[in-house]
Amino acid sequence: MTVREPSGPRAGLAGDPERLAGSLRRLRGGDRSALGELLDAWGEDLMRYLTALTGERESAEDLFQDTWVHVVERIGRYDPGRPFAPWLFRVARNLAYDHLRRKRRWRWIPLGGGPGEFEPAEAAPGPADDPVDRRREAARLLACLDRRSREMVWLRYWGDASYEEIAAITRVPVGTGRSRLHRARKKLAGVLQGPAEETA
Amino acid sequence: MNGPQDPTDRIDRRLRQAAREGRGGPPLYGPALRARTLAAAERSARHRASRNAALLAAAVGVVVAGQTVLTGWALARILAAWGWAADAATLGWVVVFSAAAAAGMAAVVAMTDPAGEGWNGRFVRREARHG
Repeated sequence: MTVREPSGPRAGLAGDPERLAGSLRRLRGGDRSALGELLDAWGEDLMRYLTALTGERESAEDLFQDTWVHVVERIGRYDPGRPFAPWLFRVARNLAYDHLRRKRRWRWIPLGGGPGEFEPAEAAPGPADDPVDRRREAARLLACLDRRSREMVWLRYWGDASYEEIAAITRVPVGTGRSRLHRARKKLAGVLQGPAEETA
Repeated sequence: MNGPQDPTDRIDRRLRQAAREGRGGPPLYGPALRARTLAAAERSARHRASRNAALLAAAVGVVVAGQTVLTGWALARILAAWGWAADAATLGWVVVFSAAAAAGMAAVVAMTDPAGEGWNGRFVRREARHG
């Protein structure tokens, strides 16, 4: 995922500021064909972000659609002088947190597993050799964190976002974001070491 | 100082590696989700357009009705000043009723054909509600 404009083979529209500005201008002018271009540029990253936030693919897909509907409705409020990606991810984040708040009100607890879901941490995970095991291990590690720290870690590593971008998306000062990330890494390091090593 | 064996360093490396490998995992965004999202955005835009048109039609209806009432009231006052009080009051009531009828017509049009699309407008709204 790339909260910052991606580069490399996948860059496409997102990696070309002029084309991106053109698409956004067209969308503002009511040309909804531009939406397809934006979807293709950020669809995968946004879905991964929403899945990481909600822990469920189904909710993430609903929120994904809502996010783009909001983008179409509120594109007039977007400041073209600022980068598009943090604005887009902030729209998605606001919707996701509203959704999570509603869910908590109803005390609904998701059951069962699915792709992208976080598994509860059982024991301190040891080093894994297989990429799939490593992904599971990372998911277990992330599950040890509270939601906000997990989001920051995810944006930093999976989203490849700078501290400034994380601050823009999560609406916290850059210093606060840095220190939250530092605390999260320290906590994860403790989990990785295991209780025996931790107390030693 | 963070040495190579520093646990925070180690977690940093592991997270970077997991993220790199995670990006190569199965895609979560595909043509079906793309099509659903585009359709949702389209429905929402049509729904918004028809809602705005309905509001505009209702506003125009209210303005027209208000003007008709004011005109009738002014006419009644002029006639009353000339001593035709009874006739002026009757005329005033006629104008008030016709204004109410005009507002009613505007409301019916706003509800049944908000965007001037015939009955299709209603189907669009129903489709948006039920996906």
